[in-house]
Amino acid sequence: MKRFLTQYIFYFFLFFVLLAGVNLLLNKQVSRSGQYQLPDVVHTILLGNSHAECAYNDSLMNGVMNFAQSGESYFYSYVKVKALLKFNPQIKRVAIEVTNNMFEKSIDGWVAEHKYIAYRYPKYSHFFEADQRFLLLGKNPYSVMEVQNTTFKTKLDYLRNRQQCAYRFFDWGKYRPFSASKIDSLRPILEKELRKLKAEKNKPQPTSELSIVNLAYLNKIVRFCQSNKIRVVFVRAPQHHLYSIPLPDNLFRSSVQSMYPEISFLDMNKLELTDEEFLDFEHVNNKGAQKVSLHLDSLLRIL
Amino acid sequence: MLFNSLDFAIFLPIVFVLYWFVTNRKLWLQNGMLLVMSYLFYGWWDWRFLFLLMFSTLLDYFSGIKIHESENPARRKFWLVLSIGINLGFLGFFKYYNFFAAEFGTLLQNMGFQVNEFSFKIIQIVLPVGISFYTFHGLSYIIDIYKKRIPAVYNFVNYSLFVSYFPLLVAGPIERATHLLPQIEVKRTFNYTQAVDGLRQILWGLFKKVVIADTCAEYANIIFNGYGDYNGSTLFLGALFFTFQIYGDFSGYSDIALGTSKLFGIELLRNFAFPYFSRDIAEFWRRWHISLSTWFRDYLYIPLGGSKGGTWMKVRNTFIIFLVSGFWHGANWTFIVWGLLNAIYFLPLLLRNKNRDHINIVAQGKLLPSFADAGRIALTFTLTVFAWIFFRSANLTQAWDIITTIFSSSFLQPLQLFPKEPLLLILFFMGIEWLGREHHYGLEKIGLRWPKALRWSFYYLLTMLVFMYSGKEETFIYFQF
Repeated sequence: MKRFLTQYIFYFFLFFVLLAGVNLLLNKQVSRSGQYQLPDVVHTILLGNSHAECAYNDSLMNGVMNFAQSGESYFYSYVKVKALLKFNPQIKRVAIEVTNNMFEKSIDGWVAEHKYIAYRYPKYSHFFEADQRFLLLGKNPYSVMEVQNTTFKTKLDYLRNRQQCAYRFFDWGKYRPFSASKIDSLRPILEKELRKLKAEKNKPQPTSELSIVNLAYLNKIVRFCQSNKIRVVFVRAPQHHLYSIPLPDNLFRSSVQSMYPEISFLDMNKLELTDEEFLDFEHVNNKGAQKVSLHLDSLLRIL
Repeated sequence: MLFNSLDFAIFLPIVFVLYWFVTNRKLWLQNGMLLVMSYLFYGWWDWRFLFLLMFSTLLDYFSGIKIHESENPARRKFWLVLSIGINLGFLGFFKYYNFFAAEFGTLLQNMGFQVNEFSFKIIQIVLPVGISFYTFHGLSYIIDIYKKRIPAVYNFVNYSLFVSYFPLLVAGPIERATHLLPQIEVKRTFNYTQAVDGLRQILWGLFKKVVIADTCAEYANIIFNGYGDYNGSTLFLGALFFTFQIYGDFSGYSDIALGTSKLFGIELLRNFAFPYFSRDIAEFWRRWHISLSTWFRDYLYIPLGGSKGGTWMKVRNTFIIFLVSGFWHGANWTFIVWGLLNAIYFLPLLLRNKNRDHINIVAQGKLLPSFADAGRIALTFTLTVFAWIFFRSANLTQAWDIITTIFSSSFLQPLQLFPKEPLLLILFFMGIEWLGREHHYGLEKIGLRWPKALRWSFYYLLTMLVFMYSGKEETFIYFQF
């Protein structure tokens, strides 16, 4: 038994050492491949979740590249901003989408819940800092273990197929247009739901608890940019007036103001959009995006 | 819990350590722990069906004792019929209810009867994993006691473990009481060679499942699901991919089951013996899903008269066996036609008394087969590939469309899909299988005489491939049966 266990443990120990070694080499190759270079004209990158992903058509904006992606927390955006700034000295400004839901407590689940790890770990892990790895391991070791092989294979696939630039291969986010408008079909559903909740005297109240992890990483992004003399601006895409905001707007605005008084906040939510310019209550469609993008572009030009 | 999941990778070492370090002093502790872990393993999938498993266990346990203790033939028969009836009743309800309800409804409609939607209602039934396997376990036990081949087991834990032993619980091999129970009834002691062999077999099983079957599945699914868009040559390639998928999947599962069991000092029945190197269809059926084929032979074919009667009797019994075997796989006409097709393949051998021509291992002691054997292997393999088209198709129309396209001029057109990676993997896999065909599984003796560094490098290569290709956690095909 002793001999068996010794050999078993040694076999797997050696396997994991080999794997870690190969993984380190892969990380080095993947993260220094120079495939993160953006066109020289890009001086502003935009980060955020699906609100920003749908709202900012960067082809209509001057020197801006949209890297927002649906379901992305600041934890993963931090990795992206660090990598992009490292390889692109021409970037002078980082625009970060700040929305009510990104400040609210439940958004912390976007960091380490299984589906977020499964989708984002392979895309960003080669740029993770040690504390990020430990944070994920601490919160969800099972999912981190489970995603290792996919991550490994994704990196190998990239190295075998380098003709695509890395930020596209790893799908780091871009403007995503939607032509539909579902407001007319969603409105009766929402009203029915609200009537039902009202009848049950159970109307959901926005929570007043702020996120911890997500905001800590927003802070890291801001501090990292500032330490590298990169200007940070906050933006917020329009939300439909029927959108049930997860965090009260006054709390959200006061939090932004108190935490980052020095940062400009370009709030597109003030723009007047019609129902036809929304995809649903949270996101604008391509018509809305056109209006929002041109407006944001004009604001960024004068900043 | 799937054998190819992270859950199992954590579960197995824990059970191993508990088994050999905590419960190793007493037999009842060893068996009790294995039983609890087996229920945990099964309950991981859906704990509600544990009650069904326990009920089936209790029924057969008591029926076995009643049959054993009674000298009255009528009473013995009563308990036998009760046990078989209830077991097959459950199996029939969960597996075949919807099939019969739909077919019977259609039949009545065709005969001019009014059938409304409530007459033979199709209901959403979740098929309990492993029900076909543990039902057959129980049946063999009861029948063996009835036939006075074995005595009843009075130790309930031992009997429950025989039915629910986790390596074989969900997809076999279908064990026999005469083989497994004697091993359960004695305390196991650790055997280094057996345990190392077990790990090697698990590695090979994982390679077959994760690297071969799941990779082939991707292409087989693409081609079969979009069969209308592909020419004959590509559809044949799809059938080839499915041929390797099902072999890798099921024999991979069996290898993991056998290897896992070896870690606990228990040898299970061999389920596959390199079936794709068979020289005729009779040999194929002696090498494919051996535990099911022999079950049908012992509990259906022989009681029906076997091959003792005249030619008509032999033919009738052979067709019954293949049809039942097809139907065992699932409630669909495709499986029945698959069984029928195999019976038709078998018929010429049976009529010419040639069904036991190829008992030995092909090209034993040689590197390559003779031309004649290579031709026989190729012919048998091609026949098998065609039969698998029925097995894989969603319905008979799809199978027919695929076969007619394959037999059209489009078979001579270039392939519309030519994935090199899975073809290379299949080549490597079949190479190892060929080299290891004289042993119990492909990897058993490969590299044992090599220097340790080289042997371990080879194992690391396989482990690395398993690591890289895993992550999809594709379920095993035979779980649905």
